[in-house]
Amino acid sequence: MNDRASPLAVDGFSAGYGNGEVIVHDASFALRRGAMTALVGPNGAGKSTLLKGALGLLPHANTACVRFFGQPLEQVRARVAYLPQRADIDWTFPASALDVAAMGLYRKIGFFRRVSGRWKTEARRALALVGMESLESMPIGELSGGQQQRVLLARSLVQGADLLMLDEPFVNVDFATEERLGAVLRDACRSGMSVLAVHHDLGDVRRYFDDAVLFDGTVVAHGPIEDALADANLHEAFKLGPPPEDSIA
Amino acid sequence: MIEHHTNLEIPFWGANTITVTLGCAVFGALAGSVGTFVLARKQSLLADVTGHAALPGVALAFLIGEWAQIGGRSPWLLFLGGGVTALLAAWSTPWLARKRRLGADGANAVTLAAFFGLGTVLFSLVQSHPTGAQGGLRRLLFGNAAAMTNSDALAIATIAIAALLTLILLFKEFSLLAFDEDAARVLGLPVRRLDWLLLLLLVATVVTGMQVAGIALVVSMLIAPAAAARVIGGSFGRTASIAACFGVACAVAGAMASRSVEHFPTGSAMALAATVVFFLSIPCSRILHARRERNSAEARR
Amino acid sequence: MMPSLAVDVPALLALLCALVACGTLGNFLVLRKEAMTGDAVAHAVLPGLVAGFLLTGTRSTLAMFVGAACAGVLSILLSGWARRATRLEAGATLGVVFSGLFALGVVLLETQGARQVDLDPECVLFGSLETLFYVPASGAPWYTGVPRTLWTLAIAALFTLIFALLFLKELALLAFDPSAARHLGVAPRWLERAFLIVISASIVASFEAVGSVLVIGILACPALLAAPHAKSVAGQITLSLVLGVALSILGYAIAALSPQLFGTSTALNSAGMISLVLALSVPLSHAMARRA
Repeated sequence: MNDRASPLAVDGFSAGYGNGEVIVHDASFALRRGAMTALVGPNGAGKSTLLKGALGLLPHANTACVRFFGQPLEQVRARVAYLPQRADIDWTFPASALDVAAMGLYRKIGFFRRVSGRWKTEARRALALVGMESLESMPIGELSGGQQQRVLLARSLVQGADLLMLDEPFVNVDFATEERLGAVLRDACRSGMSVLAVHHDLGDVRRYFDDAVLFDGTVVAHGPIEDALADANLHEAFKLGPPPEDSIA
Repeated sequence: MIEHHTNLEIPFWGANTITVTLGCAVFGALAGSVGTFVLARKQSLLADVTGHAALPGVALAFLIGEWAQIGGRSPWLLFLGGGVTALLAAWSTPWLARKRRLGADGANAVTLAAFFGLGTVLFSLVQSHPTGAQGGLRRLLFGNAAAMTNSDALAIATIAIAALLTLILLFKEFSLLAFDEDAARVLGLPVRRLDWLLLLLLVATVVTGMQVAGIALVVSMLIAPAAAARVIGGSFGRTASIAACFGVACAVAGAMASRSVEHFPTGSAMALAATVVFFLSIPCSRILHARRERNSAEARR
Repeated sequence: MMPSLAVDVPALLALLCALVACGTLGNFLVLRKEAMTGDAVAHAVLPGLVAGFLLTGTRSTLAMFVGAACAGVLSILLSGWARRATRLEAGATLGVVFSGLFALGVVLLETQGARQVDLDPECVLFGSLETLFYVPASGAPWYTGVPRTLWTLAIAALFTLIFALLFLKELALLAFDPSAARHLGVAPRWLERAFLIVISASIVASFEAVGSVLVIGILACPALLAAPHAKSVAGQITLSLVLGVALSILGYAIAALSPQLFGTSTALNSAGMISLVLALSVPLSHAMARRA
């Protein structure tokens, strides 16, 4: 297997929702292995569309120009994990935290088999990583927003993926959760995982991330965070006009 | 076996035919324009529930009428009964969706099951009724314009015209409510009362549509013409007028079909016509759109 | 009044089988917030049923079944296409398509002579449970007299139960988080299609027992009853079936005993009474859950 290849490389990628409107135009970038990359851009820039489109979750995306670990997604599905926006999920669903964490294992468990004790132990371990082991039997509807986000992260971690794609993981979570999630992701990256997260808070993006893809319908800049989020790029992406002469970082 | 008998007993363009056709036309106009608001407020399935919910009221009105010996088949009595239960359903569905955390979808399902279940029970009671006058009720299920009398048509036209006038007089208030309820509230409009009034208009459409389109299919006349008009597009006022025109055309076509072909249920004919109009509107809107673009391109040149 | 083996037992069994067939998968529709899709499918299959009947000239289960399945798939394809082409609300395109197809079915029934046999538009609305009798011929084995509808419903109920058991965790994930299900590759397209086909089949099978409108009562109400009390999907399904069966028996009893209870001249429509009892219990169940 070609492990030198970038965890995610897109080349001339475009995506939309099939009503003629194209939301992502001609995007090209390649993630660095073992890095935490932030996907940053203004509201409505199409960051979630880019993520979902690359994962083949939209009917109108040319996934032919998306490569995960040098291969089409079908070949390496098990190595890619996806964490949706918390708002996309129906939290009144009758399931416990452990049930949700175990969902990440369904592919490994396979059809026609029950979630047996062995798998539950594995899911429990992932819950412990995010500090949720004491709440495993709690109905998900009774968890706080931050706790729900932790459960979703546990579900992605339990999959044992090499690339983790997260849609707005830090939105509406408490500070303790944000810190915890950041630490867990950083640990995971140290052991060889790569992370791509949609993030919209320019203020704390430097706290957690190594690289950034600045995105506004297409890729404006990509690279180490300080370069990618240079003022000139930010002004272009956020349509603020040309940067003032004596800009302060 | 195909039956294509012209109904010979009633002259095709007799005086009664004209009244009945007019009654159907007014209903069509009302259904189309009220449907525009139903669609804008994303209440298509609520309209379906409301339409079906007229059944228990109608059956109950019939039973009460027979019991009180004032005749179970008076159109006004049936309208009143059907209207009351339809309104109850239209009101309780949003209430259930809010209060009991069922969600809009679950609330629709529960209300439909409850009202139509009750309707089915009461209808079985009506059918066991000894007078044999229940034939008139059976007509309300799928509509039968051919059997409409002048007084039926008059009752329908009276309610429909009153509802249409209300809609026209309060058009801009209703439009704002449908488009942006919060904005309407901030402007100080009586949102709750307007909301009730819109539900009443929906119920008026259902009630007038019972004999014309039938309880089972009145929803089609509410949604399809309005959806076709939405596809063709334009301002809200234009959409409502186009929907009303489509409604009239479908209603009249359905009435004529049921008059000329025996056993052709009026409601089904109207619903079929409305569905065809909707599916034709999609290619039409594409052609219109392309022509508009070409014109504007020429104008720029 | 004692329940009669010839009349009450087949009717009640048919209702219970219909409840199990629709109620099991109805849980997933409710979890997906798509309960009304069941109502749409129940209406849209009518032209297929009638066409199957007209083409073969018999009420053979298979012909009507194939016709209904075709109509059900057609309605889903048509409303999906219309939604993409027009950007209208899903309920609106669904409403247009299902009422149009239902109208087509009624027209076929009325004009093509099918109504002269035992299929008529009223049966379509209210079901034809009253025509189920268990009359075993003397000397023949007991099962020869079991009505065809009851066989169909029993098979449908068994089949849906097996389907739900086999794919419980996949269907649950599909309802909870469809994008994750697709991404993980645990709920492939064929499973989604199989789900739609199996639920359409249960609806078609239940059609004769309860009619096109009350299908929604046995499809959605058991799940909505159980939802506020359940902690897992399996628990919700079990509870919904237990409550559904118990309340159905209650509803049936009220309808059958109505001459004694309310002094009516004949028994009331049992499918309607069951639907009413189930639906009225839903707000009650939610209120109880909140108090607990």
